[in-house]
Amino acid sequence: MRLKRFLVLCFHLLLIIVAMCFLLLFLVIPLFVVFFNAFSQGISIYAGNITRKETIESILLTLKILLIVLPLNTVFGIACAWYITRYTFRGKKLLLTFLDLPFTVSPVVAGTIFVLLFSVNGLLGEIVEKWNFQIIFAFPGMVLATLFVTFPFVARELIPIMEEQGQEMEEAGRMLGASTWQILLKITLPNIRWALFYGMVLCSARCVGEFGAVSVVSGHIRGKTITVPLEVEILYNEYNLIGAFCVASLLCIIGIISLIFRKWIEKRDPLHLYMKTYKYGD
Amino acid sequence: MSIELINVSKKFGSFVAVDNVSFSINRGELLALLGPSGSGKTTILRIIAGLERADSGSVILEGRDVTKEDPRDRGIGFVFQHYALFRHMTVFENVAFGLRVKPRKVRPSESEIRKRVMDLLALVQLDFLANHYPMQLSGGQRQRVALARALAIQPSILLLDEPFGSLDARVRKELRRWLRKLHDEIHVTSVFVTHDQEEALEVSDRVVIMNQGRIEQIGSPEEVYFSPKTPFVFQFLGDVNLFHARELSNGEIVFLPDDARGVEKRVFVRPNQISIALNLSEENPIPATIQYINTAGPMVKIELSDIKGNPLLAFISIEEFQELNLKKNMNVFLGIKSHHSFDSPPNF
Repeated sequence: MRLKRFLVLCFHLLLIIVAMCFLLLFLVIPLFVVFFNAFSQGISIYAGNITRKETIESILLTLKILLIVLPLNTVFGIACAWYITRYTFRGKKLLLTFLDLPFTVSPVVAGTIFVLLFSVNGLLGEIVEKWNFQIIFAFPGMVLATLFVTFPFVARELIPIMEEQGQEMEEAGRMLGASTWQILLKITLPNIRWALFYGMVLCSARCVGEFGAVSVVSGHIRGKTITVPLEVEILYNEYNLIGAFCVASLLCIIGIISLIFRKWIEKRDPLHLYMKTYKYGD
Repeated sequence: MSIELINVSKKFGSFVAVDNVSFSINRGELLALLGPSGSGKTTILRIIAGLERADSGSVILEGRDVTKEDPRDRGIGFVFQHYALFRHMTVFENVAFGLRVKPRKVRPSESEIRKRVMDLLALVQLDFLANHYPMQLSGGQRQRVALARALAIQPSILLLDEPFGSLDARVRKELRRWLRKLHDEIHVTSVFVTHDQEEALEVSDRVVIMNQGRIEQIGSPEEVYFSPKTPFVFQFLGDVNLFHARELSNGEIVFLPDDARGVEKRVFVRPNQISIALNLSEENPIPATIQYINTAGPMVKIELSDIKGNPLLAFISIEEFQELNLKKNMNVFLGIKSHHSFDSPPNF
């Protein structure tokens, strides 16, 4: 009996140790290495690296992309979730599958698709040339690629919550004389605000960190089409390891802030709490 | 306001929810739509409200065809089955919603809104909860908030979907008497959906009984209870015994199972129309065996089986029960005080 209990305890310990080792190896150590290397030459070098012209430019470009992509994908996410949860139509399953496409398709493939579409020899290349509007290897292409990679985040957060809430509240609003616009602003949005915010945080995090798709369409033009992750790559390829780690630490900080945001939202969202107790409670 | 439905039909996929239904509701009436689940009663309510669009047929409100009109233009108050209160708003804001979303030209002033909402909350006896959130209320309180909210826009028609469906039995009885009283006070044309026959018979002026998307019967509670038109109505409105009796050529009905005269006829008998005697007599010719006795309640419920083993149910008074001194497994003789039969062949 005692031996059995001892074995169970050992098994639990073993599981905990495996999990801890995994976390240490793939999360804690890399994070530590990033920050250790970034600050290895002192704060002044770190500050110098961060405030270099190219780095600032890459940060500004990333922010510009974020400022365009986030509002668009937020609106798209709300519209998409509304349509999917409030209407029944043919091909709903298909639409839901397409919504997951950016999760399942490699970002590099996504980038390549845009190149094939919009480059001079591409399918839509003629039109692009006629209007003299460069998309590939320029800012519009990078926005498009980022849009594609991040479009499911908001919708994916909203769909389950809107499904769960049903549309009775909205129907009640309609019976009380509210217009569609009033229903959206006064009933739907207040009830999904935390999930929406959560989706926006995820979308932003991915938008800032996106590498693959943007890398393909950017063309790596210094000072023009270099985002923060691309800047890290360039610095690394130029054997400027400290510089690369300094810029990478920025991305890490953004990631950590997103995580903290996420936890904070989870705490504030009563419905989320409800679902938790519902799932795991007595 | 009067409501008229003309040849309304509605399908969901291949399921026929409402099948060519026509009826009208008089001004100021309290009407119950009664039927089992899936009989189309809620769909009819939603079609009147405009939340569902009929595949064919029309809805007329006070002579005005509103079939294609948006629900917000119909002036209908709707109370949802699960209340559908706005959970991010206080009770006060819930009730005020309908006034606040009005176009600026017709929107009452803030002080007017305040007065109207507090009056309504007083009407449903909840003014002390104005600043609470729906989550903090009991089921019965939520129900009354939902009602106050629907009344806030001064609807000419009030529709209630299973208004007492998710309340416990006691609150339910209290609330339905209260609703009846309220209706007598404010006299707004009201339709409520229910699957509870007791509720429908107790509260409404008239009952529409539905089955499989069709209307079985429309009438006052007394009419449908005492002169049901179809076997379904008879069965739905209370417990029922089915006898395979025989009808003689002179129209007389005999219940003896081994009698071979006349033609077979299915006859329906309510449990309280069965009498029990210890000895065979002309009034009590049917032999049966007592299977189970339940004395809890105003009437004694006795389950029996006839010679062929068919189950029967009889309700008798406690005095009669004590006088006869009935016991389980006793052999007794049943008499039929009154019965019902239908000319059309019952199809169930």
